[in-house]
Amino acid sequence: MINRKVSAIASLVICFISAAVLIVWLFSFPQFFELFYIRYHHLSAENEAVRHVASIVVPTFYACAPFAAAALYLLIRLLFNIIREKVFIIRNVWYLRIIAACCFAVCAVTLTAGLRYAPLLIITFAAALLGTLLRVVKNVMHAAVELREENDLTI
Amino acid sequence: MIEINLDVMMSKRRISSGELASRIGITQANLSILKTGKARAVRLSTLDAICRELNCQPGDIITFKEEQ
Repeated sequence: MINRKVSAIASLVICFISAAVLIVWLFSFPQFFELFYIRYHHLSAENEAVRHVASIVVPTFYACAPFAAAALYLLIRLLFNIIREKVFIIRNVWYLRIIAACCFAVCAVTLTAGLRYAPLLIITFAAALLGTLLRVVKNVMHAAVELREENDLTI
Repeated sequence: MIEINLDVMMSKRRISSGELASRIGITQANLSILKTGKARAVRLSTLDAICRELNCQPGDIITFKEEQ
């Protein structure tokens, strides 16, 4: 079994890689979309349908990017707390609550965009599921914080 | 309401916080939490050690008073 600290560090590395990808995409998402959607499928950028998809997907990405950035930042702070052995503290509960809220915000954005381009509804569902999962984890963590406080004050 | 009279018993036996904490195997900070009534619970093993060191009964340290 992998050591707990090593596992947290591995999660931290994944978060930093995700953050790096997000930063790169912030500056180059239209080009990325052109490369992987238009050129890969041998489509024409002048095609009306392609321009329609691009006009929905690219702004949706930029609308979701702040929430993704906030979620990654809080996730990194949460992981640093875990590495420092500060697991069951109220601040971590707060972080999880905000990350879940970011997921629901992405859900709302992609739902709005999904009304015009249906495949984005997959992201809507995934974000809603992830947000709900994080809320449950937050509830469990909150209960654990209360148990820890009770234990700390048991002499 | 539960009242902790540990400091009264400690002064009767003329024992300091540091010494009592060391003898019963808890930190001075935890002993302070106990003395000031901030503790949520006390282990029987801790109560057993305190009574042994202070040569007293649990009732000498812990009393119940009706809240008014």
